[in-house]
Amino acid sequence: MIKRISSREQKNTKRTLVLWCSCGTLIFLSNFSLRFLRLCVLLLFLSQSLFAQTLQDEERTTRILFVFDASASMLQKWDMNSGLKSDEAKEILTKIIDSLDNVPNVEVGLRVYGHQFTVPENNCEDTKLEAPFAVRNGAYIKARLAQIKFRGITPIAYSLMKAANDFPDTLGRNIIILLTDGDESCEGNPCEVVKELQRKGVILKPFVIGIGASLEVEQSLSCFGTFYNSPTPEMFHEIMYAIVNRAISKTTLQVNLNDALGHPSETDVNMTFYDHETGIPVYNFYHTLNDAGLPDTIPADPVFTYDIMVHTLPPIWKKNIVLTPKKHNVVDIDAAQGFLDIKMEGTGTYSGVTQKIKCLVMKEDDIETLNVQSFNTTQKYLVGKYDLELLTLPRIHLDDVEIAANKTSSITIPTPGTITLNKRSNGYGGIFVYEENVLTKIYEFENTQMKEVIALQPGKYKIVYRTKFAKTMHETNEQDFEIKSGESKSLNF
Amino acid sequence: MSNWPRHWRRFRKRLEITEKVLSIEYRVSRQKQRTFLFHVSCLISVVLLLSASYSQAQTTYNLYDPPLKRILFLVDGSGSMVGKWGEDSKFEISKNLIFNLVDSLEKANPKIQFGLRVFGHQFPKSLDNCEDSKLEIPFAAKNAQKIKTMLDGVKPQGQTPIAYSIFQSAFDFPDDGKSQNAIIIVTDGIETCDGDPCAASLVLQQKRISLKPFIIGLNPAEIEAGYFDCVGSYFGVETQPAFNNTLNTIMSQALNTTSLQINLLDINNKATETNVSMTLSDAYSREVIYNFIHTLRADGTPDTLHIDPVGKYDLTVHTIPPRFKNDFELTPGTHNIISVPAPQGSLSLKIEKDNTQQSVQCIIREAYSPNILYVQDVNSDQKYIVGDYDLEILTLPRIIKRSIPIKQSEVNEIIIEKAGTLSITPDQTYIASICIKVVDQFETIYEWKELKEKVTLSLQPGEYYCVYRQNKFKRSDFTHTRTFTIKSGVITNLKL
Repeated sequence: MIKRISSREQKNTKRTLVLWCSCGTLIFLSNFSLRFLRLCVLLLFLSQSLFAQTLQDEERTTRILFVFDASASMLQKWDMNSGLKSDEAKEILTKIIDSLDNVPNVEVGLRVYGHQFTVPENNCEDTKLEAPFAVRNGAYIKARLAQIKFRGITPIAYSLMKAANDFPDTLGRNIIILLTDGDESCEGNPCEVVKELQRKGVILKPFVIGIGASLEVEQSLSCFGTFYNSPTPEMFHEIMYAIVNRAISKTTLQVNLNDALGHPSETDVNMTFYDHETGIPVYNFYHTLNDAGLPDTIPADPVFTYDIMVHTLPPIWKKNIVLTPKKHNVVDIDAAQGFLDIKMEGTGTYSGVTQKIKCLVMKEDDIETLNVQSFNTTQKYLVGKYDLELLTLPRIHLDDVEIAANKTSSITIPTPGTITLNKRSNGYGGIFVYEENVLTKIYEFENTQMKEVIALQPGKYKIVYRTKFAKTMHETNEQDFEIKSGESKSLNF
Repeated sequence: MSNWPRHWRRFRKRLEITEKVLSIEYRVSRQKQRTFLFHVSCLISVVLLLSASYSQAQTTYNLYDPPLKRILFLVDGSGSMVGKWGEDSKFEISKNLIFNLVDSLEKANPKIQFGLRVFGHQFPKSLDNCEDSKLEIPFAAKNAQKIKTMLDGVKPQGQTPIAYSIFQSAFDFPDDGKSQNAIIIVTDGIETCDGDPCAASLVLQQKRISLKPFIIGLNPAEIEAGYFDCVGSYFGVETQPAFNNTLNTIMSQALNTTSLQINLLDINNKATETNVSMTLSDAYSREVIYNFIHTLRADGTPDTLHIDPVGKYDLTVHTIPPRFKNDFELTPGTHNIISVPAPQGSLSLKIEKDNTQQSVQCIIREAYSPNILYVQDVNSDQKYIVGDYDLEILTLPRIIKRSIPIKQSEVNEIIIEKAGTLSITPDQTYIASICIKVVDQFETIYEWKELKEKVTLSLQPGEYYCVYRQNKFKRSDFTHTRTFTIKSGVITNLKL
């Protein structure tokens, strides 16, 4: 049971149905299809909380749209020993369509480009859905394919854009397989088009297979991920079968998030699965241990090569995961974690000005902030060393705080005191700390506020202040004061 | 202005530093036994000196309360002083000029005192006495006649132990902590005892005992050029009138008030920057001496400070980031202008607050630098030195703005959109997280490990994803991803 990330879901949720069930649970359901609804209603009786359910994987239709190049350049010999690209490719495609015709839950469609107009006509909208998706339409597709004339140019981007509407508006595993021997010839950007389709969830996955294509074409279209070029008809045959096989196989995946001892005990963290080739996210899975305490089994689509991002702090990436179709695949990821506990201690109350105090957590020697942790909270991090910057006044910097596996590292600082400054008139100045003969400004007064409340760590401070009306420096005032933890003080000047 | 508390602890720290300096200086020149003995005696004297002059080291004063001025003459009584300029010996001429000067100044100004130390006058050169130096007339009012009478009886004859005399002179100033001190050395030769007059002078500076000595050389042809430069201000004279003029020049430097004007320069090198706190500290001991807020007078020029011209200063201008002018000296008796480039502009961070949101902070770093310069509250203005800064605003999600320019006298206003509110109502217990998508990549910005009742969360306007799974379902594929939009100031409801 897999629910893909897509804005289609969002679109559909607007058409949400509210079902009032006998069990009294208010349930929101996405109205994807009648079939889906039926399934949901069915499952309702099995469990009270069903909106986590979507279609059973087995129930989903796999739709493969072949987008086929019928441009004039196909009327060349494929290689020394073979016939024309057009004839050879047509023959292999026919075989594939034959073999898919009896596979349950698989539908095939055919879109062709460059076949209606000649090269001199240079028609950049020369593309047509020759065979729409339907059950058992193999014979029809073959008949259409037989009539195709190879004559025109190569409007790939436009064809892909049109292909978006070729898929029925019901949930399915939509796959585009582009078969081409040349590059885009109409200034379109096939890469952007296909990525957008994947981003929006119109299609699950694009593939591109080169029909004896040149190196330039290969480079230009490699944005699909791998460009499966086939210099010979035999290779074309092989690649077509391999890709289609990946597209229609059932596969399972288990992700082991291993602790320091190598046991798969880490869990309850989101994992985003990306299409390795296009970088587009396809699934989110909250990692779960099943009742036996083992990582549960996820039905995963072998059509993808995956990059998995585990949303730990910092995230872990496991890239280039190829699943073996029809097998149970296990992926091991080292994810040993420990806890960081940041506390304020003392007699003061944790509220108001002290509440806004946060702690920046950076990976050791990394300048980017990894996380902003609030005080009196505990947070899980990958094992390792971290630099902390506590945004107290004055700031406290801690280098190389060690987070060890399954241990809690506690950082405790005294609760700050607060000082209320009442100024007789606005002016300039600030609060300083005096350490090792160096006077450092830690806070600059707001020169528009007559009253300021500032949280300070326990310690000794110096205020240097001068009213804004003063015309000599000798009117500068200095005042030393001390703040104790949790204490509230006020100063007038 | 402050009078710094005088703690013995600090004093001891200074003592250690001074001893270190001294032992380094003397390790270099210690070769002969004579030098060694001198070295030992110097250390002893420094220890004594420090205890004697402790409070002088802390002297501060200002124009409104002119301090007592004490001027010590260190007069050469070595054999060569009997040499003649015209009819009189150099010693005679020195005696008369000093008497005339002291006599007239004492009468004119009761806040000036003079003392006299003579060296090389007690033992003949053949005895080679390198500690032949004596405070003959201690500081007191009306000393002119005593000085004259004393010098009348002196027969120049011995060595020239200048370094030793400078060290010893530190004890000659009374320990009442209120005077501004100067030393005038009248000599016709260089050190003849292997002492180091530079090291001796440095100690006086470090202890802030006296102005750098003024040295009047009566035999410039035989004094190597630059020899006295590290000791103090050197004047070579060859005639009686030149000697007299020099004495008057020195007196005006030693007696006139010294003032300091600090120009904080804008980007056009004009002294328009002001209202910044500044710290003046001792360049040797690093102790803070004064804190001021820079001020412009009514006429728009920087206000003048009247400070002790003795010693060297470090200036810290507490801009963000701070600017420094280290290790500078003041010319006594004159108006000194120190210029520090401190061009500033303002950064104004604005956000319309919503009621549920806590005050937001913004981390300021210099562009491409990992170090935090300042943490500025949103809805405040703060000045920074002109340049580029990286901002990290701690909203949810954090907003990072790189290389934000701060220009001279301009306000760079950064407006942060008012947050919206996400209200999540779960019907079961969930594990749930809020993600953003940055160029196709999911990034978790908030997480609830156990979400079982309605919660609200302030979020910046934008597109978000909520990824959630029921806690009790032990299946990863029960994970859902929902998108939602947060609008400024609007509550977005999400029911799980």
